[in-house]
Amino acid sequence: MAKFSRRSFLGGSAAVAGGLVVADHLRFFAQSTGELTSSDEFLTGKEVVYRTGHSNNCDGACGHLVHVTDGRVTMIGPAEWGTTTIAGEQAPTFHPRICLRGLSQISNTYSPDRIKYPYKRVGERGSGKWQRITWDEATSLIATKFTEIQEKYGKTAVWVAPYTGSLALIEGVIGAGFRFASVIGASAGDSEGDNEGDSATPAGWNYVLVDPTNPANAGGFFTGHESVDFMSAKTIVFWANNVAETSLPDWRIMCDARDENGTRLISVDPRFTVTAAQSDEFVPIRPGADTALIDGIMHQIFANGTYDTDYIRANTVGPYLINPTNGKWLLANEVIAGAKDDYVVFDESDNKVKAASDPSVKTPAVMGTHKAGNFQARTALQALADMTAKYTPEYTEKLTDVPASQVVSLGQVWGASKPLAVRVGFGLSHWYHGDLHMQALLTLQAITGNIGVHGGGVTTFAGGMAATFAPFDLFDFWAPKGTKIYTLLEPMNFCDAVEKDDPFPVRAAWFPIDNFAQQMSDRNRIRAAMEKLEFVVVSDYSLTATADLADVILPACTYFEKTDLLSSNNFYLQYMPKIIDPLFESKSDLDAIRMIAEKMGYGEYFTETPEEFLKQIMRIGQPDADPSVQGLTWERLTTEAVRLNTDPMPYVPFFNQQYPTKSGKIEFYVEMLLPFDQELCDHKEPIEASPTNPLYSKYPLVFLSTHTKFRTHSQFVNLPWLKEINNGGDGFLEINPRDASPRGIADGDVVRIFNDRGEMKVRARLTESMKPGVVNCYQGGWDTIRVKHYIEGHPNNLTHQIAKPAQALIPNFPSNAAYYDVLVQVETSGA
Amino acid sequence: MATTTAALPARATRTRTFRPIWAWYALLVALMVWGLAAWIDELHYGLAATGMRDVVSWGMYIFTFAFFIGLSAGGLIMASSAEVFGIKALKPLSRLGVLSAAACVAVAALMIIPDLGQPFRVENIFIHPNWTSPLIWDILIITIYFIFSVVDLYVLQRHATEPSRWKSIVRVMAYVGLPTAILLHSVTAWIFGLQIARSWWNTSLMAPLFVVSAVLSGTALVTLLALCAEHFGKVELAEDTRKWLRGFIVISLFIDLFFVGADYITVLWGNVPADRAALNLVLPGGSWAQLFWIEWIVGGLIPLALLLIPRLRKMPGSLGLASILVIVGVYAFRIELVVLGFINPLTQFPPGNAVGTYNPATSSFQLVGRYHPTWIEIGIVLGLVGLFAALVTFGYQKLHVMEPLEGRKHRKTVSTRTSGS
Amino acid sequence: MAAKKDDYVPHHVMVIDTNRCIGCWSCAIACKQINNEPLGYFWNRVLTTAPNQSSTAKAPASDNLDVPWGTYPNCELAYLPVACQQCNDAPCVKVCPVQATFRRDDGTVLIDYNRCIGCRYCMAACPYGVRIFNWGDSQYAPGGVVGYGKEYWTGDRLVFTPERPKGVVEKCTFCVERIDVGEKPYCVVACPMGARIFGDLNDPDSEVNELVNIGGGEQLHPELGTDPNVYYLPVAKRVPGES
Repeated sequence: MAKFSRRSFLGGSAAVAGGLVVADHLRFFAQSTGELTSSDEFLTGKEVVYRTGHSNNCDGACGHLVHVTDGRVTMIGPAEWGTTTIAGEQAPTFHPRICLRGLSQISNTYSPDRIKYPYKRVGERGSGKWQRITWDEATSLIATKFTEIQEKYGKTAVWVAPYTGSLALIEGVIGAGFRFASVIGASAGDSEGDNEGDSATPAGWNYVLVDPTNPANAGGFFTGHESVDFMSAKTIVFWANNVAETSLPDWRIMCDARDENGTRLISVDPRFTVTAAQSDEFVPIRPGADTALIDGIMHQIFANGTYDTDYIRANTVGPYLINPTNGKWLLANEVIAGAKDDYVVFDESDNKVKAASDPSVKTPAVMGTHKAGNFQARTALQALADMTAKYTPEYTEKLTDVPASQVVSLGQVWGASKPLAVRVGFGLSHWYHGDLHMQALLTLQAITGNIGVHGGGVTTFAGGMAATFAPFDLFDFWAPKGTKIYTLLEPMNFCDAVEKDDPFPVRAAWFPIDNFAQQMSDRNRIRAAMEKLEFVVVSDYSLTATADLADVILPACTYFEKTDLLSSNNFYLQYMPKIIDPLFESKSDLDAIRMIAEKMGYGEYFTETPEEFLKQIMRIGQPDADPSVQGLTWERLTTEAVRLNTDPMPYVPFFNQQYPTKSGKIEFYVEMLLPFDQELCDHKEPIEASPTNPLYSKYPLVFLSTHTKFRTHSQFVNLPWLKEINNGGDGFLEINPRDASPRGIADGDVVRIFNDRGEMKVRARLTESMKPGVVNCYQGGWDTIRVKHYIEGHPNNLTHQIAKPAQALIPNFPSNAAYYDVLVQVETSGA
Repeated sequence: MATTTAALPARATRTRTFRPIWAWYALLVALMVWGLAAWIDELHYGLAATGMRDVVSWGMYIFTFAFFIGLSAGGLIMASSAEVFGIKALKPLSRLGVLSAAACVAVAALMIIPDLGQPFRVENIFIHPNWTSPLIWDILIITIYFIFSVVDLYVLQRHATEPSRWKSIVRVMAYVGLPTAILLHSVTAWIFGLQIARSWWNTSLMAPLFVVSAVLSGTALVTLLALCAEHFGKVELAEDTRKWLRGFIVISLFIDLFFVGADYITVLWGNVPADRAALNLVLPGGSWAQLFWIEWIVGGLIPLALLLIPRLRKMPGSLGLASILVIVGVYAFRIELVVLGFINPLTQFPPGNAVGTYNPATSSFQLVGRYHPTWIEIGIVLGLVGLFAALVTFGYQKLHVMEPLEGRKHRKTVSTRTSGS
Repeated sequence: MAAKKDDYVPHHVMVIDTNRCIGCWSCAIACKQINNEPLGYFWNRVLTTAPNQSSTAKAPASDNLDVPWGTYPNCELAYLPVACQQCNDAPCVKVCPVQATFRRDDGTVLIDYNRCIGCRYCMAACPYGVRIFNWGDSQYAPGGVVGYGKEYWTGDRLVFTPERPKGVVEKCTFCVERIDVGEKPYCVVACPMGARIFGDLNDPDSEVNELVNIGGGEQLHPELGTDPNVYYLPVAKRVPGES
């Protein structure tokens, strides 16, 4: 027995020994599982830090600190801003800013999705069959085809359409693409980058504040308060603006105003967004009913008598009398003997009717109907009061779904809380009557004395064109000496040009940084039109839906790989140095343009380097530089983010209360809109998304396609680092449970969304953030051959291109894609 | 077949008799080889080869570890109790119990190795032990326990041949063994029970519950082994022995179910959401309700019926079946304990915890944890189960642990085995 | 800051203002970048909650992000960024069998990558679910190592390495390699709302001192007694109709 025990013990020991031997052999596996050793992949080289501006399609225009080791970008962080203006004045405090998208730029730049080489289409258009070609071949082909098509159909048959994929100066929506178009005599798209849904509210802004017929106004412009100006506001109203998600870095300023100054935040939105969650008050408005609510608030202002008489008198057309027979301005020479062509007022100090510019005028009446000549003429403000008389709280509630008591309290706030700033998003412009909504907001702000004052105004992002355009001599850049400026063809007119040769035939197109075939509304129509083009060139860094339809693809650079400048709505100029060499065979758009221009015989216009162009455009060192950049040196520009000279600071448009309108005043009564029945902001129902539309019985849900924080339009869409937070990158439909359950839709079910124009399929996400009757599918997701973020189709299959005639009055904002003015039906798809 | 010892050459008989046993060993070796291959695979791919992820970060290795510790502790408790409380009917099973305990605890300790992300750093446990960690206490007690059970087995073996000389030592060993076994499973229980982060575990009931389920499963295992010995080894169990085994199982099963039921009532009545979160999964209607049915019906009511209802009790094989079901029930309890402790984390808001691996087809987050073992885990566990079976079979064969203590016919010869009854 | 004695050890604390956290995940992405984290790993997550809700007393409105509680239009929504709470009485430090997880004098809880045996007991012990395990081969950012990019040692402990070996646990380190040279953790730098404040609780002039002692900074799950070094400022009650 004992022997056996010993034997088994020995046997056991042998087994253990053998095990140790095996274990030792296995140790080498442990090496591969990662014993820590210094890897030569770790960053050991010298690190260089650059400062640049983030020029992707976002007006946040953050400054980036970019760390580069051994020629590779390894880190991005937020950069500081310069503390003084070009002229040396102390600038307002402005915090470094960045968001999850800017931080993801490393994975965007080095993404395996990056287009590496030029390609030529070899299959059917849209089949995804490509042949790799050289840059020489590509540019020769493009030059040949462009020349051919121009000869056959006319110079303007080539349409160059740079867009907001980049907001930088040379290679963005105000950049070299337009110079190329002018030089070759082609047509070109929208240089403000706001024609696709972002020009209705600017048009409305111009109705009231700018005379579009005056050449000095260059066809209209659009600007707003600098973001830090909101610190002066006592109340801020976010009207259709989900700032905390779509203009992320600016929300900090709003929070600072709230926390440091006790500013009250109010959010007006059909969705309960994160902005609404952090605001003090949420106004749950029916989508498209904005003007009705504003009229309801103005009704309260008149009822409470809280309109700002002095301000109205001094700065608006409020006191001017209206000719009751035709609604136009009563002219002084019609009712006053010996008077010139002038407006007419009723002077309360001596009860006399006078010409407006009569020096004896002391207190023009702002309200009332007054006898002037043979007319019983109302003041413009009286006309406004009469128009808003019907917007009682109850009637307003009926139109807007905002409770009557809330309409009353909003009216109280608006009349008592001064200054009150309105920050309005382009969500408001995605409506057929977006111009009217803006007109209404400006009217309300005008009668409460909130325009041209610190902490007031109606602002969409900040600065607008004041910062984007003013410092630069763009027209000389776009149309160099010896050339004529390109022919404007707005994106909304593209289909007619291709299909009907209206206003002229278009047979070729070049889309640099423009995902036109996915992001433009009425996508099915766009794609049909694209089929008819004879030649399509796309410059991009990723294979978008537009690139899918190209004949030639040119690999473009990212913002690290070329020199440029970013001017932005926050009034800083951010020099963008070339930080790394272009990856693979990518080239900047400027280089691509140069090569093609040379082959077309126009090389002389593109001999300058980017630095030389920048100096030219800003007239650096020249006495005729714009005041905002007067005194700027190249040295300063390239060493810090330098703040423009503005007056005042923080920037407030019309601070001097001088308005570039015909009257020189705020024209909330818009005579030129009389033919459109819109001289005053009387509410009009949306063109499609209205319960009064007979279509409503078939398609009872309003379809929004708002912006999400996880991407910027159609950029950053396919990055795994963002997709893994954002539902794996899959699109979804936000729908209220009260709309979902009668349709038998559970959370996660696949649903079909459709109307007469098209359809799409995604999974449903039930959420109480949606107002019942309204659904939302975030825009920007891809529908390309290789990558589909929606199960089938795309939100733009459901949108339309119905243009509003009134907008044609403003040459720079003549048409608008009303993305949200859409009705759909939703049903389970079973799939 | 001739019946005398001398008539047959021992070797030939051995060959004929041992054939089934070779097949058995072949199976066990195959399992162990599979287990080893699976572990090598796991070392290569990392623990991503298992079904565990960041939310449910302990799985089959840990609950099977706890299971085997329980089996081990139970075996020794039963064997020691026989000596401490003078239960003559159970003394024949003492050595089997201790053999089983030694084999179980060895396998349990080995079960931890494949669960480690860096198994070749295991020496850090001995160089930098952290005395506040229940894991260190457990390693300590396991080591002590293993050494103890091997020594105890030796003592009992010597006692079987020289009972009078070793009797007092056996007694001492039993008095030390009983609390040691209880301590073993209590410490293992405290690995879970002391954690404030997991309310499903954080109850003072954990140690008593583990000890009672150890007695339950350990006794059932020894019963099963004894019945196997009866069947294959032509040993006979006395009726008294069976009665005591039945009694141990029935009483410990009642206490076990009582403890579990008391826990349910406490959580249900209190209705605290964090506590209810796990229980709701287990109760009928929840996604893990099958564990409930297995624990209470398959491992609870049915064995009770088999062991208490006279008609069923008299059925041949009822004790064996009951033992198997009880073991299954306790295993289900271990799964329920470990996995459900993780599934609803204390801080549980959308989108949930990160998962720790990336698969574009699934989410990188889990709000509610998910777990199912992979073939790697199953292979490794089965390999270790095979090792256990091999250790017990081998020990049984070589140590003749089922020999009666009296009547020094201490070696059941081969020929007796092949003869008739 | 006034010159401090050489042996002065700060008490590092982070305060997160949930009154302005908008759930943008910029801090989570910044963390991944500075630490070269693979896909599927989040040392830092941003959870969707109702205002001032630290326990799941109210069930989530949805499994998905960004879905508010309540019924339209009376909804509530807030966010809770959660990374390692750097507890002063950390359960993970108590249970680690090999003292691979340890608390440093300044309050940071760190993991020694060279010593961790991968038993994951710390993950079982953590009430906040903030520990990540390196289960297998990982997918890092495309292009190469990003972020800090080097190993970092404190004493003889390796507490950060850009590409982690399989089989060890990791978590937020308060950017130990940055705070040791006077910089702030990267999530603090990156937060566009200025919702993260980091500093020395022992310094009576520091912002964190004020926010913790006067400003109403609260800990997550304080009833557990883990005494985290991460504090949260509550969401202010919003009452419409008052100016």
